[in-house]
Amino acid sequence: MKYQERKLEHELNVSSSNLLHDFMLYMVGGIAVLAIVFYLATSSVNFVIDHLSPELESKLYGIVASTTPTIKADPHPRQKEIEDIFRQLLEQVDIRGQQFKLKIIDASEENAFAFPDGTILLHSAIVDAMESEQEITMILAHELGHYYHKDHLRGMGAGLTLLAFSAAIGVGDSSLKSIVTSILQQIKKKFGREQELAADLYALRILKKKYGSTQGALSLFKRLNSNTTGMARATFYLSTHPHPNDRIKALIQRIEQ
Amino acid sequence: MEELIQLGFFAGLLMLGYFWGSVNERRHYHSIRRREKKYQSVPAVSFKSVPANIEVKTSKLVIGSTVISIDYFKRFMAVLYNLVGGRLKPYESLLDRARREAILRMKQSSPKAQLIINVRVETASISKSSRKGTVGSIEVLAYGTAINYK
Repeated sequence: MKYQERKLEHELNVSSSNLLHDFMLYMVGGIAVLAIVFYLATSSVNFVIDHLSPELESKLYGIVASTTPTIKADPHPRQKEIEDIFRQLLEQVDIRGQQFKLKIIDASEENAFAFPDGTILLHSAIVDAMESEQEITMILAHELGHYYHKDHLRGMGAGLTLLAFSAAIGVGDSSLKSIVTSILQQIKKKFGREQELAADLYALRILKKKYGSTQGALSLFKRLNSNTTGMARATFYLSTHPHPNDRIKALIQRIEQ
Repeated sequence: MEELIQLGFFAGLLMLGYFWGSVNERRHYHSIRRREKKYQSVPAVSFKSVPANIEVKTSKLVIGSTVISIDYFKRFMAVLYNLVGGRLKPYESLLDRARREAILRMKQSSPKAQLIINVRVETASISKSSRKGTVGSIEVLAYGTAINYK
């Protein structure tokens, strides 16, 4: 028996295909599939919310409302003035099944919140920034717009979809999971910003109905905008609210119509 | 903002893994091919016993082992292949390199041997992470009996 040397050129045990090519294919394909499924899931949630019966809706609101933290209001000199305007405003709007409460707390960011249990929370900074009755109405009507559009229920729907997605992807590697979750978070935030713009437009309608003009809408956002000019636009892109400039643009567009 | 930073880090690690992983692999294959040619005259076979016509002068146990890790990019790719199934291409070259390197080291440990019989190759996964299903690096051990005949 004689030993014969073998030629060593063949690499049978390793696939010759390019991994980078596969990477691109899988990433693009994966993101596309993810986006389509996410879109279908959220739009079906929205469809269901639009067609809820009033009883089911109030039941669902009860579930979401239980997540509201207890807030202790701080005394504010303009509390009564704002409450009077709020009461007048409530006569103008058609929002069922909510008991509204108005609370003001000491806080330095100009912000306002609508909680699912009907609590509208104003930071003292935004109260101090409001100069006219129209501006106060604009902010309050914006928060009422969130109830009008059932944004809390939609938020819950989006949250559930997100949860389902993270659970489904949880079977894979955790780095993949975190990347997909952060992409989905971005999409969710984009929906959130759309909700804010929709609430702005709702407030604009109310303002027009109540006063016949829409002056107060722009003046407040313009003032808020002058406080934020130093901040980068990218920060706003990632935050939950639209950039004041974008809000003003959308409002001007609607006013012209 | 936080998500962007996270994404940036991830992309950076992927690129780093791809770049250094490819460079390392190419270098390693280059060295493997060179040494395989050099040690081609020492046959390593899987016979359990010495062929009848050979009279053994000396025999000894020879061992070669190697530990190789996969890079970040390939590990991520493996996750993607895991989702859709098919050949787990990123690990193929890892195992191939490790096997060939282990056999080469075994041969190198006894360069004057005329024949290595009863060669066995064993693989073990080394994973320091407690996460389920992760294969970070592997050890391949090759051993056999080196023989010189009269």
